Amino acid sequence: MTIQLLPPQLANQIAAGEVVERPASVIKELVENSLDAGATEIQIDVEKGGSKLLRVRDNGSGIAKDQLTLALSRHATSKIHDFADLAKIVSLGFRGEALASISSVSRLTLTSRPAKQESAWQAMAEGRDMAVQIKPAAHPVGTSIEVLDLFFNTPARRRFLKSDKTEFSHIDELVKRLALSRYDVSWTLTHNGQLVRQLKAVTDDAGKQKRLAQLCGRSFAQSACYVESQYEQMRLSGWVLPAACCTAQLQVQYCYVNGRMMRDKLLNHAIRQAYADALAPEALPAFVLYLDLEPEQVDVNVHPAKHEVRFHQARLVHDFVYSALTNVLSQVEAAEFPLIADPTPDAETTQAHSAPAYYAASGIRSHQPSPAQFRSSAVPAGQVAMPGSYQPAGQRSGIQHWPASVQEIPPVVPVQAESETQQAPTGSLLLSSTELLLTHQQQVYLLDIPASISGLLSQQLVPSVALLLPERLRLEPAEISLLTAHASPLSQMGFDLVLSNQLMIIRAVPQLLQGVPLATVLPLWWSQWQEPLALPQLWRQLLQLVLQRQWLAATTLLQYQAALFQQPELWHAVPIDLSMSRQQLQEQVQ
Amino acid sequence: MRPASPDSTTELLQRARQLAGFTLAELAAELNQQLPADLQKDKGTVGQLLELALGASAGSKAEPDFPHLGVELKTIPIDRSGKPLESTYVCVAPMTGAALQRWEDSWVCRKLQHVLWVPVLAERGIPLAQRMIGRAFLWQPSAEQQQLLRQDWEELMDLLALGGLAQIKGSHGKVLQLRPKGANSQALTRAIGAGGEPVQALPRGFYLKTSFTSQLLQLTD
Repeated sequence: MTIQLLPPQLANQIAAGEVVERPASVIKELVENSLDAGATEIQIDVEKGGSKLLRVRDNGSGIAKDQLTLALSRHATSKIHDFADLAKIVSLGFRGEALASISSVSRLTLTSRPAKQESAWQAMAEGRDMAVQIKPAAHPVGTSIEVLDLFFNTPARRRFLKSDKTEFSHIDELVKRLALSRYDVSWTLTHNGQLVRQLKAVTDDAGKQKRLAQLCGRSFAQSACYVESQYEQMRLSGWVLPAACCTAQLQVQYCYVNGRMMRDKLLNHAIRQAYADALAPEALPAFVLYLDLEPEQVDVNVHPAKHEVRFHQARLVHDFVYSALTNVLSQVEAAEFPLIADPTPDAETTQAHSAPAYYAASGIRSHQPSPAQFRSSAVPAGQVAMPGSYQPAGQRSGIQHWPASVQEIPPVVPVQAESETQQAPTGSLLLSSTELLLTHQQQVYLLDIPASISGLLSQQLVPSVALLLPERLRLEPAEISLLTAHASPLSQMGFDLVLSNQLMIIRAVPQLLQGVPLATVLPLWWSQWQEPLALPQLWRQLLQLVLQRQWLAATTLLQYQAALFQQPELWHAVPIDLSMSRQQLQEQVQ
Repeated sequence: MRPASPDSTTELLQRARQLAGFTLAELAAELNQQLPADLQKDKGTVGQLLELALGASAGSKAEPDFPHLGVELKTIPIDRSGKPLESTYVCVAPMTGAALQRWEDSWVCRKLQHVLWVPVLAERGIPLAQRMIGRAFLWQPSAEQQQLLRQDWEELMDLLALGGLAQIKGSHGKVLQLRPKGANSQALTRAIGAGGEPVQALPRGFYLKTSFTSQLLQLTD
């Protein structure tokens, strides 16, 4: 099969498949158009369950003659114009395909007259290309849309239609739902020429109550509690039936979001949750609820028939509805079971019980930020106490503490030399793990690495690293006295050692010992101390040990302490006399 | 003797750092506390011991362990290489009654505003008494960490509040996870079912994933 563009009629029929399911769906689309056009009177006439005739007549703003053709085209609408509008839908429709879709599966005529136009015009689209014909007609200000022989050209759909009675009951149900969304509109519904519903526009509470009783039944209107609650930009109002009055038989379950009828899972969940345990196992919640929130907070463009929406702050909306209803329902329960009620019931609750459909504004108010008790002045995590101030005197008996004399700095000191010039001079050669051969002013030197660097380190504030997991060492009494004698230089080296009885805890070490097996190195180190040693000797022995045992690479150490090469006065090095070698070389060559 | 509560976060950190290197048995002896043989019965033993040692006052109340400092104490079991051994319990997840809660008001957010982390070397092979306390550090979530936590919390709370309890797996969330709390799988709590109806479910808790806590451990000074 080749790929080709669908003819307009077929494309519209496909779209109709989603939106036009049965006569009631046609009514929904047409009435929503009327409401979007600002109609205050809507008359709906139905014949044979809608399969023969559906007519919606309104007193809305109407459609100008030159716009009639567009009105029947797909993707044409006056309701939104750009993407920004799509993000905040305020009209019921916006897709711009209802009329085109309906007209592709029926014989649709559109008659309209705006207030500014002298006469009315009628349009209808026919054939494969849905060409629109326009002719003059007689009509008051407003619009009438007549849909004849629904599904006459899609027999498969037609076969799905149920009996006239069933189809009409769907329409009636729909009109009920619509009428509950707009109290300020007069509604008339006829079936086969007989008046089925006539509802006058109302504005006051009594009128609304009356319409509620007309549409949802007297018992619902009498027992339901009025809900009105606001939270930030969200507002919930309507009626909810106390659990005790809910039955297993489906009563009213009407939900509106920004005036749009909705069967939303999220809202149903919130409503059910509000009933909690009070609801008998088989009983069903009953409610007529209106949720209004800012259009930007709702995405309507989810479902072609717009039965579902998406909330940008789903949980917040859910919780708001849940809280508002819980408040009301629990007040009713408390009033019904005085035993568990508050010993001093407030006036509102008492009143609630006596007055049907009482008005209990639930008490959710604007959001309060959390108490400030959790805020506290921040101390930078890296900030450590000054050395010496660590240990409150005498708090921990038998513990001596020699904290590192240096402020701890972040351990991420690059091991690489700071700049290229700080590298070991070219031509230097590592002879062993502790000896370096290098040239300086045309002279070759043999340098003792530990001895030279220990001089450098002794002049520095050596960075110290705190150990996430301190090291624990058992000490001999002799070791303890040895270490105690060296407390001060050890602390200068960057060690943080704590002595507790026979136990030595190593909490911080000089940075260059990072990754070195301390438990092995350190006892070896101090076993070499025969006499009291000064700082440079301590460093030299330590470096000697870690370099010789290859726990630390000489190249790493030299890179780390590359400043050594700029300070020849610190070198422990001997010049190598090459005169003998040169002489021998000359003799060999000759 | 019960140590007094520290007056400042600096003092708190100092005192916590003085514990570094000591074993739980040594700390318990210092505090005249009995240490159980293992954590089978009470997983909270280690935390309680440290709370006692550092003068935490809040106990298991719904406020930080050091209410006047706004600091929460968290012990974190780690291995020798400094990696966390298990996810870190933050708080119990509100199965019901968290309506309209926002991140800023959530326990998770509040508990994690300022944390004193106390690592404990707690590899399986080391008996409880010999487990060693590591170097404590204070932490406040960075803007980026806060954002990660918030995202996960919101996603998990959405599932929890909207009846998606059954869908929640440990793999949900980048840094925060929601999973059944406690060893006792018999104790059920009230929760909300898929249709909004009350149901009974295992209590859940919020936990910080080890991938997150191991980053914290690496970043410590």
